[in-house]
Amino acid sequence: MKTNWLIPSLGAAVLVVLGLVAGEFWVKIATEAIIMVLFAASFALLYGQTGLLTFGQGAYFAVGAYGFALSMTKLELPFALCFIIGVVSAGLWAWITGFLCVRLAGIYFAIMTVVVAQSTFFIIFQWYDFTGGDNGIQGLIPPGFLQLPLAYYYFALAVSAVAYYGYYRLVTSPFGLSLRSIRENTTRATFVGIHVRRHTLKAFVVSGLFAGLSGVLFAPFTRTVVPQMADWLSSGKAVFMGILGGPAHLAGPLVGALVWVFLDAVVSGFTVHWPLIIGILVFVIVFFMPGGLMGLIASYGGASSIGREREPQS
Amino acid sequence: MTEVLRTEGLTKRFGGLVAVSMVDLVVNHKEICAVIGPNGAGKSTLFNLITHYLEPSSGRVFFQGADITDLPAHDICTRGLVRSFQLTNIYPYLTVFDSVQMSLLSIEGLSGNLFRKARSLLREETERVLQMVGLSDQWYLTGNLLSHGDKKRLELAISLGTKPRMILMDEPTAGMAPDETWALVELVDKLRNEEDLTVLFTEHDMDVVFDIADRIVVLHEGTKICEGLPEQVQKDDAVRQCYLGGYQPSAQ
Repeated sequence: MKTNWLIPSLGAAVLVVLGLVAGEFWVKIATEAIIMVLFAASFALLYGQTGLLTFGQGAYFAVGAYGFALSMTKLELPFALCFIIGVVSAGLWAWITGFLCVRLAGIYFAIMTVVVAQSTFFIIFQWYDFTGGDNGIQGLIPPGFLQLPLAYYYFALAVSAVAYYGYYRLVTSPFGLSLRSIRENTTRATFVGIHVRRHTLKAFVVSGLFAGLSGVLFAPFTRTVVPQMADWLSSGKAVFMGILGGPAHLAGPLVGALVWVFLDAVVSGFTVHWPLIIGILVFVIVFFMPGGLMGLIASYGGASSIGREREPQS
Repeated sequence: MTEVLRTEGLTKRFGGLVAVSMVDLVVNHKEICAVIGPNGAGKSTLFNLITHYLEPSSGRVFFQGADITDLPAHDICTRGLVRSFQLTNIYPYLTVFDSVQMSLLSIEGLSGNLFRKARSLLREETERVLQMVGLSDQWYLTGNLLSHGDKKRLELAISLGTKPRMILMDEPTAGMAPDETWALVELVDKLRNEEDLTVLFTEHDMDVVFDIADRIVVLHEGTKICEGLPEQVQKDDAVRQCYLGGYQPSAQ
């Protein structure tokens, strides 16, 4: 079955053109949305593909952002190097903490991820000398032309597009299928020779890399990092965006993050009751569309005609 | 005859209950060996011990001459000793094709590969396994949509996908219609002859047991009380008393 490239190409074209026609406000909203896509993907990889419910992706988002910020302000390294250090430190932190988390299953795994994320938050929050505590770190100005919102938008779009292609390759790789078989039936997967713990740890680290990359892109975008990036509200955002789009679906995190961020921008423009809208939205999704927006689209036909039966389904 | 599987003094205690007690078992190459016994005799526990789903309290397990007692379950599978489960154990939302391809990818050491497309790998081999069990036409359905008999066949296909030297089947025909049952019996016999498969299975359907088994082991309250050719086991007084009752093989 050939991959259908029409819809992804159209989506990419829309995002490219958007930068040219939208004003600065909407370009910034779009930038945030593009960055959040990777954050949602980090959740979807663990929950949608592997079946591990994580409430702690904020930890790796924050470690990525702080890795970037600290190497920029303390070490004064070049931008590209700070970028890489941020992503790598998120991956390392995911590797260390994931080593503990993947030993647990079900609700205990979920609790452990919360514990890790809150610990990360408090380490950042209280280590004043190093992280600046609750002041965060300011003045993370990207070099040269990237200071222009439009330029940064295209930069973030390019990085996210490459990373999302990586996500697509991962989901369709043999490793992706292994993760789904672990999700579907961990015992059965073990008894066809799959080393479940090794695979879930690998997924955990890759997921941490995605969250870290998202954090690294976010830091120079807002030009600040704050400890709240690691708290449970931040982690919850990844969960909501993932659930909204449909975490098991390839395009789920993309759709979820874009809809979430744009909805946030639109709704908070005319009401201060945005959290209420969030509540109702989550309620509706959980009760009426457990497969998220992509699950809804897939159920209205088209699913089999584009070879979706070979993709993960929720 | 070369020996494939051997257990020595295999024992499992759950608190005060001895579920499996000092079981010595030998299964030879290309043999179809049945383990029978009343409910709670320890048949499933025995299988769980051999495949390291449960940790034995004492005793050893040898497979193809190597001590596999302390190996993790996934390593035992990689060595060619695979099992199927009593309660149908499939991947509910994976397609039939993916479910079987997963086993092949795993056994080829590709389960952690990030850089290739699963879609293009081992297609013919997967197709071959699906044909063996007769599920080719349903390759695109997710496991949860299959009928009960087809789920059992998928379960078998998932096991066969790992290219096993030996398969342990826990009540493979439970809940199957009679014609499905006999199709499965034929398939197992064919696999033994064509794929050199060694089989150890438990079964409550005595027609199946006496039709296909080369040798029968009888468990009762965790202990092996009898072992031998079907004719011998059938005549054994202790076995008749505790399990077979007045069973006469039907003219299958």
